[in-house]
Amino acid sequence: MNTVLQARGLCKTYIVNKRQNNVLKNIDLSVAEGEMVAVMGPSGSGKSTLLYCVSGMDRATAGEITFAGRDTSKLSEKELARLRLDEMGFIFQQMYMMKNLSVLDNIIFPAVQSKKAGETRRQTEERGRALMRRLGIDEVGGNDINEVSGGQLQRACICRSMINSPKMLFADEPTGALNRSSSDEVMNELLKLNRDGTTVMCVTHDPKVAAKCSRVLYLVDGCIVGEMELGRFEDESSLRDRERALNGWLMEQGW
Amino acid sequence: MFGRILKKDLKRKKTMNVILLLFVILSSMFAAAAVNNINAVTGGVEHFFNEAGVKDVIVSAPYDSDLDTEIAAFPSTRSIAIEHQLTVLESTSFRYKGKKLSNFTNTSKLITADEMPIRYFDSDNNVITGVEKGGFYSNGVFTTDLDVSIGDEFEITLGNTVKTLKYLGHFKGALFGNQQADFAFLLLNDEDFKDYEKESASRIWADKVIHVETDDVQAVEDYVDGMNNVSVSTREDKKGIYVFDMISAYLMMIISILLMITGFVMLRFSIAFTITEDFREIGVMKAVGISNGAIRRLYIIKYLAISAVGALIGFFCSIPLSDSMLKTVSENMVLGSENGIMLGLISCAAVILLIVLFCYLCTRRVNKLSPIDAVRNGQTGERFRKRSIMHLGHSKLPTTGFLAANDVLSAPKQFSVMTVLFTLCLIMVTMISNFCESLQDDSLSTTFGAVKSHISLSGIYPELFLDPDAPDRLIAETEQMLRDNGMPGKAFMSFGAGYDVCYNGKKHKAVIQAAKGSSPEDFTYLEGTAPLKDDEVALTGYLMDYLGCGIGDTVTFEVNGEMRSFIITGRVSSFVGDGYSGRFHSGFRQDLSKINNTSGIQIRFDGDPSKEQIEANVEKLREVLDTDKVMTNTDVVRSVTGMYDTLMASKRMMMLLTAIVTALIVILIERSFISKEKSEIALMKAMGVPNGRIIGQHTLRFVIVAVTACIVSSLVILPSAVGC
Repeated sequence: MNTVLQARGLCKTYIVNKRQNNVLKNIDLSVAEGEMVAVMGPSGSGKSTLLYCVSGMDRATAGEITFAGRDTSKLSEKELARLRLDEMGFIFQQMYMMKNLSVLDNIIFPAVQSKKAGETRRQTEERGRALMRRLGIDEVGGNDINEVSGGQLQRACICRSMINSPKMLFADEPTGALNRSSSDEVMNELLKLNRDGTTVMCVTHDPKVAAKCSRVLYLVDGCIVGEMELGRFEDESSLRDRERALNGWLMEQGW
Repeated sequence: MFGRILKKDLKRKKTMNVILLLFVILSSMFAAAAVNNINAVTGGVEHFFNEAGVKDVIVSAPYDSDLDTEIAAFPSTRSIAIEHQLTVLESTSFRYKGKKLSNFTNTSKLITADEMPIRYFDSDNNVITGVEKGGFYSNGVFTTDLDVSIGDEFEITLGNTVKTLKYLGHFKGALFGNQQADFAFLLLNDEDFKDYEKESASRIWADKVIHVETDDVQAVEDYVDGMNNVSVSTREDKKGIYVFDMISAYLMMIISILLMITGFVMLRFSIAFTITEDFREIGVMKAVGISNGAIRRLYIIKYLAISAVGALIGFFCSIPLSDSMLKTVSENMVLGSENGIMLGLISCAAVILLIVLFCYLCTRRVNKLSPIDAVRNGQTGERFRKRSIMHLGHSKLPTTGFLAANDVLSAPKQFSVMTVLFTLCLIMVTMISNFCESLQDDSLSTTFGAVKSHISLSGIYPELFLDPDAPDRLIAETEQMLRDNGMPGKAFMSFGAGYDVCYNGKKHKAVIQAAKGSSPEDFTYLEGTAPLKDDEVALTGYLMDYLGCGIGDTVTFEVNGEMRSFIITGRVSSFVGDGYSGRFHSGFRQDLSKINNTSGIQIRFDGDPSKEQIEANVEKLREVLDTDKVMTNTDVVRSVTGMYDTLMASKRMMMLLTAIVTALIVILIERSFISKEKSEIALMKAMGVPNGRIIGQHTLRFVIVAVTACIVSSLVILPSAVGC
């Protein structure tokens, strides 16, 4: 399978009060097309920083990152922005949306901004509605963002991240602010997208979420200390076994 | 605890607090300076009049009149003092360093130190007790634009008397005023004065000014009423000569009030924003049982601290500002030094009080927030009204424009406040700008009696008072001179005489003008028609209202020793004679003994010359006639209104101030936007929206507000601009 994302010798250092804080230390990473990778680790281990660096939201201090064959460290801010807009999708723990836009407008905004598909706004809107239907939130398209529940909002965020048909989807604790049923719904949607071919990289604290991913990376103090191959998640019946295996492995890692 | 919260808040919102501080400084600075200025001018006039010993009534009579003895015989008259004023018609009668003076256009008055009916003061405010022989003092009009030093010599020619006199310095007279249109006064030694008095040329428009101390002002006014060439003013009337200083002082007051309003709107914006942003802190404070009053006190203390510091700095800044504003006034007045500082301090205290009161009202929003807000991030859902107005899918606008327009429409209250602020700033500049433009509008010249023309020769023509055919001759000579110099044109001469216009036993002195060479179409008649015959006259509405007459009625007055009747044919508009004036037809033979007003010779060039051509003609005529008194019509209007330069200075200051205020407003609001929309900006960046688009969105919002403010201010200003 082709590699979508590759990092070599990735380092990220913050200097706080003249003290050097090495958040990521010499990380090597590779994500293949169609994979669903979970990144786990204790708080402060550098999970989110890793996600932001590889997705081009933040610049790495050292190392090489290649996304879809392009060295992102050599791209300008503008080129990086374009790459994020056209080729990547993002989902955050907090359901950040633009307050003055309706749910549907929030979803289609990146497509209108990108013009990647070369379609009219009506067509983009139709595509947005179709995505919403697929995720079961088509009835709230005209609503304001404060008029929908957290689960609906996070699914709207997924729709937004998918509107430009990205090569890869980055999710930073997508279920962190949701209850169990909403969390399951969101994860199921991510799984559906992954099955349809979208590569997903997901930072999570939740073993139930990670158990649905094909591979789990474990970070401690800015280093990947472990990696577990779980294989593609096919049906709910295997979930128990996957969870059990993952929990055992996590215990070994010091979780 | 509160101290620590306050300290942290001041640190955290540094820029916002600094801008608020700047607003308080500007407001208190202008308030203190303006109040001090108004006090100095209003109270200062009274103080100056007392110091100078200005009497109750001032009567101006012909030079050889015996009116002083008649008034002295009144039982109510307590004392009387006389001042003879000789006239030098042209500034060119004076030579300085070998050159004729052309720095002022009005006539000059020579007075003697032996009379001095009121006290005159030198530039150090010392009372002048005498003038050495061969020397003279002058008022500011005489030395306008001259770099003159004490001891410099001036040659003064009057008839056959030529004297070289030494300049002793500037002197102040309570009745001189300081308008540009005032006379130049020269205070001479009595021997020098007497030498000039012998010359008949000095007697044209020469006056005997009688200063009367009386118990019955009305008796003196009634007695002189109707007398030829006699005018009377009370002490109160004479205070009006400082009206221009009052206008500039009030203008400053208006600026400070507008600044304060702007400051308050900003303050409201800032307080509302701070409280909304602090919902979590407020919620937690409420949850632990701190009362609304105590929380509000926290904010009020913060703004009290800012306003107290700002007002203190503003007070100190107001001292040099006030001095510079009073500079022109103090050059002509003896101002009392008392209570200026106290008034400044009171003004600043008032600014503090107003701000704190305003803050108290604005912090009512604290009462609305609940402990739940702290827990639920201030987003309880049901409190929010619908925000999205436009729809991206239906819009044809580019995304940047769409977001900006949608933001404005989604928060109408917030953007309305911004529009009000921008509109206030625009109104400040536009109003004064329009007023300045009106003061140099050519069409205003007709309201001062002149014919609408291209240029004006502003000299005084003594032959007007002696020869009834002089105007026609002067016009013919001027037109010939224009032809000879290759700039053919038509000349006009407008002059007025004072008549006691009577209707049904009611009488008022009025200046009735006739413009030689003009046609009826040269003047605008607000109602009725132009006078065409010798027994017709057009009067101002002001005069007709006073007399109780109207168009078609007949008024009577004496012309050339004969009581004549005139039919009122129309209503004219005029500033001449304080609005009590009128107009004859162009060929009317004025009573030469009553002529008191002339606007020189106006010239209208043939064809439609360009502005550059007119300027070139002015230069050529200055050369040919060897005088600087050739002016464009605009210059004439500016010189007559006198306020133009003062207002232009105020306009420049307002422009600068408005630019600063607008910049501060934009910085303050944009910073609050960035702070409030931090997460949205970050989201857009994460999605891959370039910085330029985000900056474009934020800039466009201000453009929308600015354009709306332009439209609103134009709508507000339009009626007054049309009125001007």
